[in-house]
Amino acid sequence: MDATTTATAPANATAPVLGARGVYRFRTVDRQQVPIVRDVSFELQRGEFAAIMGPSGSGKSTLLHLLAGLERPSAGEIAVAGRDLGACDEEELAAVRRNQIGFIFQFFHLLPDLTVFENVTLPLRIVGQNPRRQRDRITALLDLLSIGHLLQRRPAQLSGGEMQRVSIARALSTEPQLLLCDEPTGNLSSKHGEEVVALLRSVQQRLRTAVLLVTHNPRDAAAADRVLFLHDGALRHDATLRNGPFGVADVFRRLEELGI
Amino acid sequence: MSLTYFVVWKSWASNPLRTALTVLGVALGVAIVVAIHVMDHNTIQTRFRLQNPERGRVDLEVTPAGGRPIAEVVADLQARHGVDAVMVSREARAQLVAAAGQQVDVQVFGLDPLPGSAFEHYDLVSGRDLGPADARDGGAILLGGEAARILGVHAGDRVQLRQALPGVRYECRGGELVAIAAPQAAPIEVQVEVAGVLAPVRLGHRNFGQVVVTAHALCERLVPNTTDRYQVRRVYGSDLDRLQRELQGAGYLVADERQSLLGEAADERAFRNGIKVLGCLALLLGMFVVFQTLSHSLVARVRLLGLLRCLGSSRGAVGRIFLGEALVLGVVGAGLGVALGIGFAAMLAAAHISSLGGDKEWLVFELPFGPMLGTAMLGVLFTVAGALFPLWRARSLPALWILRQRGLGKGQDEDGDLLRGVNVWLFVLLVVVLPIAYLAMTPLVAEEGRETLYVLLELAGMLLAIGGLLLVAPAAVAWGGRLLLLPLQAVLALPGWLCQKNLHRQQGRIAASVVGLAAVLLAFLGLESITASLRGDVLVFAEFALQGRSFAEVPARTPESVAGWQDLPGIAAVEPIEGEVNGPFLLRGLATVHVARGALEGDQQKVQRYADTTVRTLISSRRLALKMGWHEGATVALRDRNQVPVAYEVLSISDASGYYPSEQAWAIAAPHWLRQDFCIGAQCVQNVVLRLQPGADAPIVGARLREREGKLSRYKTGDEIREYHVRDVDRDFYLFELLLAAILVLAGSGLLNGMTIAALGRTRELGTLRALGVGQRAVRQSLLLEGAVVGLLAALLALLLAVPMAHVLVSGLNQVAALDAPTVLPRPWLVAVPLLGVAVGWLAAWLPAARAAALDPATAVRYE
Repeated sequence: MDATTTATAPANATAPVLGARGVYRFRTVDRQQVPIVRDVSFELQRGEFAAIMGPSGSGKSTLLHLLAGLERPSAGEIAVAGRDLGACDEEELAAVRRNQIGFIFQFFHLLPDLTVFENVTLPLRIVGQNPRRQRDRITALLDLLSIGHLLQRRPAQLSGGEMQRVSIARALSTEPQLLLCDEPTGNLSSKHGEEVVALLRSVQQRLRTAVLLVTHNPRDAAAADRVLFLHDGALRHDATLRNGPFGVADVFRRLEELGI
Repeated sequence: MSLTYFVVWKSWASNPLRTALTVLGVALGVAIVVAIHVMDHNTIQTRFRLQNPERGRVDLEVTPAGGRPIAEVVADLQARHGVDAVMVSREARAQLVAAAGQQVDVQVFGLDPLPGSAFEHYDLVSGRDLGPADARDGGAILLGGEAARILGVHAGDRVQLRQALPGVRYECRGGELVAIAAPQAAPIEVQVEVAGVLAPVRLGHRNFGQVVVTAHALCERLVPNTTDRYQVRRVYGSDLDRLQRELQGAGYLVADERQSLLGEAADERAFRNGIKVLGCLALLLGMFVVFQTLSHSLVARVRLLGLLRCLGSSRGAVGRIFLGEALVLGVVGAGLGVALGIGFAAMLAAAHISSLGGDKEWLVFELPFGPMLGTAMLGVLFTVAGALFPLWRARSLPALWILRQRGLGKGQDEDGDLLRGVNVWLFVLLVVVLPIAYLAMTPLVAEEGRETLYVLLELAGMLLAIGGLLLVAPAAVAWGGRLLLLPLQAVLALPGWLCQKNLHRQQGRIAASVVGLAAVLLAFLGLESITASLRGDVLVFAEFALQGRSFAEVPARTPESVAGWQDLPGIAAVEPIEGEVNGPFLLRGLATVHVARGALEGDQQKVQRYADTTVRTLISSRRLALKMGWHEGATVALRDRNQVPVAYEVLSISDASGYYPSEQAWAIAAPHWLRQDFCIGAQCVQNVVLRLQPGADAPIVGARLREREGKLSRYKTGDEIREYHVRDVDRDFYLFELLLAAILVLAGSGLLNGMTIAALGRTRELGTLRALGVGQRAVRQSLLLEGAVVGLLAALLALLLAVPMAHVLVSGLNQVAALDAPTVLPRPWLVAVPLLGVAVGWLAAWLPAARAAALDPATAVRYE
């Protein structure tokens, strides 16, 4: 669990699933250009579980949205599965999102009028596949997430933890290479939060999906292989924790050292 | 199952009420317009069938000043604006003799040019039609079916046509009809071919089928000394009244062919155009409702739109979902609307309501598919347009931003308001596109030029007013609502505050509802202004022509024979109508002594001129003068009984003398002129006007008269006639009231739609309020208050515009229908409209209020 001073890619020769280089994002506040994300560069390999930690307002969610192609950077390059997002138009970005990325939202964003099965298989419909033909695989995925018994329920009938599991299942239904998680435990109890993070870990290990978790919760970050720290929009590469998982105390200590 | 089908189906299944309300909005708007199209079409078809069955498509029949060559008259008529075709017609009597010796007397019609079928004078059952080659003496004839049967001939046979010599004819000389024996000569005989046999319709039906149609030249040989008639067919849409006046001014005698006008007399035009303008209002409101519903329901589902984009749906896929849904809703709604419209039309037919007023039976029930399908298409297009705007706005917004929005309306970022500018879009659609599309398929009944322009300006003015209000109303709505809620602060503090907040937050939607409802209420006020003004016109007329009078009809007798009626108690004066002549207008004879205490009372100079036996003068009623464009001193050209032109001077314009219950357009002249020019006999009195003494009981006077006379054909009091005319106005405009009531339902459903969708969009907010302790009653009251405020604001807006609008409408009606109605505001309706507005608003809010109050707080706060 040594901290290193660089954010270079591991010795794995395969191309990274996610790569960011010199990414900036400015917003206009009171007629001034304020950097929300500053010069962020890092890579994520296939099957790697990384967490980006930072306090509220540090730019974590903005960075995640940039990496997902939901927003465009003011400067810098972002590549997903070798595809340069900067060279993509809106439709191409949408194609990247549906084919390469699974997104888990903090507030679940399940459609209230759809059942669990229908919510989970919605991305399949978006890519033009027939959910019924994938029923076995989807059922197995739901069993993996311990929600196989909730197929016909609607979101209003689920607990917070169950809704987030459904959200995870939806993100994984198209077997993406990359899973982006925006504070997935933010609206959950401590117990449910632990379960969700454990699930993400399990998914990453079983399905070899790269997972990037954005959180302000040290407990969640400690489950990752690598923890990057975002402060005032910039990554503190000198503080990166590697070769996890870590203990929660390690993360707290690093936060103290960084004065975050 | 494709993504599009899946999402749309789920949306409908989860919100059947919203779906049903959207479909209903389209359906009602389309239904009203379809019903109007069907009604108007069948009204005209009925008039076609009631048209004089013995003639074809003739709009006017004219006789020129004597002695002009036919070619010159035809050229003059054809050169006139609005004349499409001219046919010369002459009639004669003749005998036909077959080869086998059978004979039959026939009526002969000579036509030029041939074929006469161009004017639809006849149909054939066998043989061929006459053509230009037959327009020579000794050519061919068409034979009536009965004549052919009697003679035993068929098409292709030859018969002999023999001239029928006249016996005696009559001329009016010195006021007496003088018999003049006709000169004797050998009858003209010609051999002719029977080219074809006529069907028993129109000319073929004349004289019980014993009829011949031939070239004018042959008929001219048979009766060389008779007058030709010139039949005129006008260009479609040209003003017949204007043409008639022009021809009369040029010295022609024009027969009153009102039956053939087919609903295109000036007042009928006004009526039919009024109904069509109402149809446009119905369509506008229907599209307004569906547009509002789709726009707002789309915004209420903006999170679905954002989520689909975040999950990687292409814009095309998202667009297909929402546009596809709108298209299906539009098609279903339009289809339902067409079916409902046919149903409405059937109800109108059963109630004998036509586009020319009430109590008019339909003889046919046909469906004009062109306008019906056009209306349905408009409904579909506007439904799709309702989905376009939010989609277009969302196009430029990041998907994640859309996903973060938790409700409708403005957020911190003004650009993010998906409905910003929707009222502008609605304005363009409703005020520009819809009227153009509507008018393209619903031609107004008018001549080109000033009248059409006037109607179009009126229509455009209405739409611009509505559309303009859409743009400026939102801010006014918030403030107006706040003012209206002020008095309730003490009693309904919390519901009032909740209502006020919502009025402020959803200004655009509420303003649109206010304007839509105000348009209908304003239309009601306009309609009632028109009917009140027309009633006012009747009352003004009654004051001059009916008050203190009764009217009796007797078998023909001399004027002196009724003079003794004055001895009866209650009768102040007896005014016999000494003869009636029906020409281009109704001309009656009335003695100078009666005119002196009526129309010319106090004007001794005019009285003397009226009595003058060297100058022909007449007194015209107001309606006739307006219709003919006469003023005092104008010269009126007539033809006497011998067809010699005579000129009358318009001495005065007044309704105070000469009215007898038939129509309000008449003229009176001194009886000696009617005797001299038209040879009315000594027993010329059939109609008598009784001036009653003040306080006399008219029915009792009538009873005394019956007792004295033993037989009266008819007796009517002035009060009875006045009440009949007032009821006539109400009955004719009942149709408008029905249509407006249907449109009011449409406006109310639009309001209900908007409130339902808005309440759905506030589920989380309402759940939070309930969780914080706001009671069900307060939630319900806040929505009911919103409905009532919308209704009241709409009513106030309508009242504000009612006065200027009434002036515009009544002056337009006067101009178009040649009336002189005063502008009268319907006072009871000025009170009823605010009550109606509040009632409609409150009723429309009832269902959304009940649903909002019934929300389970625990479920609602979890609602995304």
